[in-house]
Amino acid sequence: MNRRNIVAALALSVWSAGAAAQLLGGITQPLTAPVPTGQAAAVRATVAGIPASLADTGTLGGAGDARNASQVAGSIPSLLSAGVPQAATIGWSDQASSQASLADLGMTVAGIGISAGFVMASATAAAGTAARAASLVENLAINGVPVSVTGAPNQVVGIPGGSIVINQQTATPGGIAVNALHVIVNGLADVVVGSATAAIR
Amino acid sequence: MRKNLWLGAAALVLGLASTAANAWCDFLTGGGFIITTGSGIHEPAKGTFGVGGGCKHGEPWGHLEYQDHANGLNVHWLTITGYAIVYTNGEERDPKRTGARYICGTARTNLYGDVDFVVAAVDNGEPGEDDWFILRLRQSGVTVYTTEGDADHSLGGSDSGGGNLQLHKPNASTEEFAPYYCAALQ
Repeated sequence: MNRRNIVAALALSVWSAGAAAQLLGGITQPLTAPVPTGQAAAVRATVAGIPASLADTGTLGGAGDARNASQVAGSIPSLLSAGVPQAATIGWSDQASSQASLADLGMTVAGIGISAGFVMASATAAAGTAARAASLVENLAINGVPVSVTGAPNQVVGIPGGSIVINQQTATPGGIAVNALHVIVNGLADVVVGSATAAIR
Repeated sequence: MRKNLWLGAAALVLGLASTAANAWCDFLTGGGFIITTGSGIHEPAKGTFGVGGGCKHGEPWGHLEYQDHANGLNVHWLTITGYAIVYTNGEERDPKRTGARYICGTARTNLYGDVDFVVAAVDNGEPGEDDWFILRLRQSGVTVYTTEGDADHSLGGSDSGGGNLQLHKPNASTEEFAPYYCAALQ
């Protein structure tokens, strides 16, 4: 390429970039496709600094991905046992959806017995609409005493040295995270039973 | 409402006798419990489950976990061999569409050894108490366990809040044709 052609090519390149910027200046839609993110786990726990999980899907790989994890029964030694823990997360070009569930939860943390017949969390984020989440907690009991589950987001029940948050919902960038049960014993344990996140951005 | 669902359940159970072709694919996921007698083999008890079905890059996708609390049956999926659409109400992109799906595969059990299974899973809308879960296990062409003969296939039985089954729309991974085989329907 001779010098004149190089100058012409550069000029064309500069014009193209400027014209493109001018044209793009009037566009308000994002130039990149939305990216779905999501993850779900039947149990995610940290006790005395040691992490553990049951039926964790891992991170969604974007639009067109689907991930699942399940066991017929599972346990985390010295913490909990559960039946049929399972989780799934699915991505679309305009949506992400995650859900996790388990049955027959039996947990002992810091000497506190927590049980539930069935626990489920689900989260969905779709482009152009508000993200939504839901939890289902059946027959929750603490030390054998039944707990009334209201269904409202972020119901807090106090326990010695901590709390249990039921249907804990947190807005995230472009989505939502929901924990069906979040058991916190200060300085000792952080246990989430039924965790689902979904976002699109 | 429940009365109409019963009629649908009967039709669905009868439908289990036939095979279905997989024209296209989407996803169904969920968990919950039914009240089952195992079609009359024991007193009513919980049958808890987690299930998923669909297609991903030309292969059937999903999982099945099931426990019968009366006889101690545990079922853990090994392979998913087919996913079939029985019927759908609503447009493909309608987030509130409902419908029934078959999820087929093989599983390992603690009472019968390895089996073929088919799940008939029905999303009848939210919150999920009217959704249905029906399970059949077969071994060498003989049914060894089924909930088809139960009086109520809805989640939670006569009580509300026994879980939820959620039908999802197709995504890019479902566009490839996935093979369909359902030995438990043969």
